[in-house]
Amino acid sequence: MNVFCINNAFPPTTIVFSSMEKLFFSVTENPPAKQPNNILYIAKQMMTLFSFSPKDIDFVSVVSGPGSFTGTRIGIVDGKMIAFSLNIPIVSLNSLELLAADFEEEVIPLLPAGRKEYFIARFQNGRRIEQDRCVGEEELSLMKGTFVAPTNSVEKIIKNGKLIVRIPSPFVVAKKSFEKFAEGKVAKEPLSLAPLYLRSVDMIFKKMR
Amino acid sequence: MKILGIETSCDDTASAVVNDKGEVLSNVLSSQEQFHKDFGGIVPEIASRKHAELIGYVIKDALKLSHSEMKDIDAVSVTYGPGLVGSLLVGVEAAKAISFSLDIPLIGINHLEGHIYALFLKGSPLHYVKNPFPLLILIVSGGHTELILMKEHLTYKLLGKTRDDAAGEALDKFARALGYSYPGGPVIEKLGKDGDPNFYHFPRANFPGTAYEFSFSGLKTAGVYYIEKHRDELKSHLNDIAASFEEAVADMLVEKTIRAARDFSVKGIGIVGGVSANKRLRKKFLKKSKTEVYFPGNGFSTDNAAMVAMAGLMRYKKGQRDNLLLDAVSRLELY
Ligand SMILES: [Zn+2]
Repeated sequence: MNVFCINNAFPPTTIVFSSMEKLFFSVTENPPAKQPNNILYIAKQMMTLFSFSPKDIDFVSVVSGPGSFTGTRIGIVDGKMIAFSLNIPIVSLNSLELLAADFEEEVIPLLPAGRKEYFIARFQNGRRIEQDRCVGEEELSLMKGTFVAPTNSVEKIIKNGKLIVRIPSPFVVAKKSFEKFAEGKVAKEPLSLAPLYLRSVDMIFKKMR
Repeated sequence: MKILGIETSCDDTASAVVNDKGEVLSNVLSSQEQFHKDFGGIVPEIASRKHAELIGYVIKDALKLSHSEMKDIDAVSVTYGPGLVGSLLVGVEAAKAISFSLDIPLIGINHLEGHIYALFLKGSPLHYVKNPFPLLILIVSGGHTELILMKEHLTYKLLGKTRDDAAGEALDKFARALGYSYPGGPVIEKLGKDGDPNFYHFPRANFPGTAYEFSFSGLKTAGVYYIEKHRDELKSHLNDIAASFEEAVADMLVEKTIRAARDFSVKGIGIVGGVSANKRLRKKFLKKSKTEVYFPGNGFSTDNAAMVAMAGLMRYKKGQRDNLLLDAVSRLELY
């Protein structure tokens, strides 16, 4: 059983192709802003290189946010259209859960949300103890605890806590995907899969005014 | 052979299946109009979100209605510009994912080329003309007003375009000034249907020396100004005023187009884009033109994916294949 994973919700973009026993290939990159999206281009090249074809994919896993609106959308559309085209299942991973996946202690996964806001949640031993939410700089600066983020750009804002910069490894991405699949957390209606935005367009409009 | 078309350049999520004879096997469109109405125009982030939500279902329906499965599709063509970049991206990624999964050709299409190829779909009169070239094309919509000369398939020469507003934009603004919401073109058409087009003579712009260029900003301003100054007349003559404004738009389009048709000795004129559905415009062209005039079939003037599949079919036959780096281009040129 092989999974094809896509994380395009937050940088770096990661794609992983893995069986339960063996990771076949993974690519992690920080694409320059103006480059066309190359997830599928690279995936095709890698598959060919390792003598695989998309037909070898048994299920898809995609990071469905929270994160960059456009980035998450691209990942989700890629993921669900692959699942639909090949008629295979799809599971979705939560960005913050993925960041916290490898920690036993209580951690606060953190992702920049733009406009001086941040997506956070709280996990202990990989299990969620607080829901995803969006907080401002000020609230974040007052928070205590261990933060996990894929970038050190948030260093200055965390005034009362500790920051661990950690990019989820391809092994963690694959492991989490198989876990979700085993738990039966397969999307019942793959085409309905939509990004977890955490912010409505109305809210964005108000902020802009 | 079956080709899948995908179109998400603006606020409609669309997909269609067309066969190698140019026959439309299915044509599905999900309009987002209701979501943007409250904002008085298209909100890009809402459009992108809706496209991402709907795209899979629209494609699924297009397949189902054409009695096809994914494995029956031989190529996928998609609009990659011009348009809203976030909207375009959804369609482009969907097409790339299908091409990747099934290992079938991917063909990127310019939205305007799509509009032109609506004329060549089976059922549209031009489909049955053996050699229609040279062919003059007028693209007229909310975003475009352009005269293009086609000497053969898939080659375009721009003769002239609008210097400012598109014709559809002028209609939209005029409708808004009358208190109607977006999109305004169909509203004006409905209001003006039984109105007197000679009730008021709105000014028709004229540039000496730029024979094939259009300008609608003057007419738009005159229209809005007229509404402000004649609030009292609106009640009793709303239909006449709408008809008069529509008549002015049609006159300007017809005059320049017919001039170009004569100057370039074309065999036919094709009128495409959303505004080409306008009945007053159609009638005027048919009445005034000595050259044969062609319109897209019913329902294929406004944005749709069958036109994208048809353009895709032509490009497929010509050998175009795009790779999985295909990207959305918001300001894509046709010439
Ligand atoms: Zn259009």
